[in-house]
Amino acid sequence: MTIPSPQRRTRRMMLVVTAACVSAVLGAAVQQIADHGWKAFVYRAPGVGATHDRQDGGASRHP
Amino acid sequence: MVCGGTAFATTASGGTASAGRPRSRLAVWALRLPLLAPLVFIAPEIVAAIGGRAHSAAHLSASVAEVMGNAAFIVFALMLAVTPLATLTDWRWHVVLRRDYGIAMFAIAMTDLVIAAIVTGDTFPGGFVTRVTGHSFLAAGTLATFLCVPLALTANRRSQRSLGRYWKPLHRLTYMVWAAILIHLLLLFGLRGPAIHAFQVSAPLLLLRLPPVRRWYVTSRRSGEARLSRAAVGVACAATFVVGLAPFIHSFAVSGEQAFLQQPEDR
Repeated sequence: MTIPSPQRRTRRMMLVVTAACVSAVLGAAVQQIADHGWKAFVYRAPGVGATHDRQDGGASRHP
Repeated sequence: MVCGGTAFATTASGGTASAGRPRSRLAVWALRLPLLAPLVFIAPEIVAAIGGRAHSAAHLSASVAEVMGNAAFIVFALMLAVTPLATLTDWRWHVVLRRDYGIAMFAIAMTDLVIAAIVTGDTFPGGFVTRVTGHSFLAAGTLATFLCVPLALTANRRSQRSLGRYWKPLHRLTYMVWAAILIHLLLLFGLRGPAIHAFQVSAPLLLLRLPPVRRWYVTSRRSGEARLSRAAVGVACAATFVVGLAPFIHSFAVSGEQAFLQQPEDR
């Protein structure tokens, strides 16, 4: 059995961190789609998200 | 494939050395100072919200995306501009700013995310998770921020040594962050306004990263050839970048002032 070099170990650790970050967001997004449906996830009602000086004519802001 | 200066990069190739001259050091510090502006602008609202002042959460909810979102994009664009600027000018003194701007962008974006998760319940009913991933545009923005985690964790010399040859490929994640930010803005605004400006900012940054363009520019600069073409490309890229970034800076300044005075625009 080969022992991974410190560089490979660190690389693997960072890959795990990256995968965890991506999975957290994608998992949460999939959960939202499952709960509220694809349309609610993709299409936003007028006023949700964009600032009013930019788009929707009196919309609220988004995070 | 794009190449050259992966963002969040440390400056093993001489950035620190050239930034060591007193005048360069002064310029570097002068360019670091504006990174505090978002915090200064939003601080009064955070303090008011922590203190439980009436309507402070609504004020913060109204300001946070404008102030921190714009700031994050501006700082990200400036970070991405470090390498093309080195290509255009052969300067090295500013390369040290790439890491600082990258870490600052991560801090700003994460602050935006945390505040949004806490205070935007009026706009996005549901729990913390809904407030940051409840819509496709929110998920794209959150993904961009989360992808910065490994970059920020390894944006130091020690990690660069520990990762060795794997460090640079890891930091190419920056391009995924870039794509996620553009998707976030595209989903949010459609093909207009800030999304178009973001593409406008991105175009010259991407162009000057393309290996053939970069090679042509650097070689011809070193040999003193094609001065007119180089000047035209440089001016066109700089102008496109500045014109695209100006609306973000304007919006940041206006909303920042309103946040600082705790007078957010009526919703």
